Amino acid sequence: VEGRLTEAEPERLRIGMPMEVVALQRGDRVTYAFAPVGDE
Amino acid sequence: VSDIAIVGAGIHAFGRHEGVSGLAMGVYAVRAALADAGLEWRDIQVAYGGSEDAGNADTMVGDLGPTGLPFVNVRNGCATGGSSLVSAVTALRSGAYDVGVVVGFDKHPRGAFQNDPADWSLPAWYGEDGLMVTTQFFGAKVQRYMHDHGIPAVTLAQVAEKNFANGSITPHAWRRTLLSIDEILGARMLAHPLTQYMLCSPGEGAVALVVCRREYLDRMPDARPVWLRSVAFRTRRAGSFEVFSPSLALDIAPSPTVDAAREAFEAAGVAPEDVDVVQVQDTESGAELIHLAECGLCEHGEQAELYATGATRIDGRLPVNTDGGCLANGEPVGASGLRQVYEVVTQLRGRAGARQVPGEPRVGFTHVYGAPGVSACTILAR
Repeated sequence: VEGRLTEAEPERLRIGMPMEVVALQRGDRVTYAFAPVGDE
Repeated sequence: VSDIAIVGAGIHAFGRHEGVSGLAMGVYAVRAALADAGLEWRDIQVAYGGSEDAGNADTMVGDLGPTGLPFVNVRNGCATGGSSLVSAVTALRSGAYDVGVVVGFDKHPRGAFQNDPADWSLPAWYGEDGLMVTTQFFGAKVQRYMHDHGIPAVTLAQVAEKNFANGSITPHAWRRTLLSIDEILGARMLAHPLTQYMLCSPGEGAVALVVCRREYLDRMPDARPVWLRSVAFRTRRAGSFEVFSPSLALDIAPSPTVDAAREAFEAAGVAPEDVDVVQVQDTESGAELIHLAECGLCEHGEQAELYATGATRIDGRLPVNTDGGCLANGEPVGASGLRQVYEVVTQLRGRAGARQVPGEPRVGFTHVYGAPGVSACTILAR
């Protein structure tokens, strides 16, 4: 599924790194996003 | 051997034209194409045309002349021009008509395209999360492509530098200012790794073509036909990596570009290495790189060397987007695919002036791609 990232700094992202799904408050509703896991 | 010829081509300058409607630009392009062909509007037996945001093409008859001809409105996003051309060719090949007009035009508001997810069979959350903004998709797609095929960021800048250089010598182009590699790389980052000058803008413009059956040329002794060897139009298959897709398959299927290009080459009996001049969809710099390989014009990963060595410049061995492409012309989506055909027709006739590909090119290729996963390709020859 396609979704937003919680991290927008390219230097802290790489293709293939482990990610986890997290809940994200956006305005008056909750949606999901992908967040880098641990030190990755 | 082909049974369909393009005998007239007309264009209204791309860019921004305050006070000029998209339909008026379309009428201008049709009149220019008719003049080029040496025909009158009353000679035309069928017409196909359309726009995304600028109105109904068939209302042009108010200016061109209400002759009673069948005029079909086409609205198919970025493939509007290609769809119109496919439709006209099919109509001519059916034998129902001998000569027709194809016209594409558009006039988009300033800024990014505004799309409603519901219009694209997508759930509301997709738009609410910002994922309908196409720049983020194109950034993500080229990011992965560069990772998978070892292409450096400077290659993206080399695409844009070339296209703005080509646009600077194209009279109908919108962006005619030369930009250096450093200026392009140093511009505002809009959708990593794409900077401001690596993305095209929605714009305005119009293109028209006059097409006819081979037999009709007997009535046109002064015609300079360019033969439409093939035209192919395809939509996405399950699993392809497309704009406006809410998910991505683990096993990615070939894009509609791959299918359309393969069909076009097979139908024309032409190999990619036979092509002398190329126009491919460059919504952003990365799209040009990806599409060249998807069309079979180079290997995946070969692009870095092609652009570093100047092979894709007008005097290179594979001239690409010789009029500056979408980057220099903007993207009035109804007109964009036909602009590519106009450019190849102009090149094959040897009328491209300062941007003329040397060596009297004989075979040209065009490719358009758009949401939500459509592609149209043509192969043209002298």
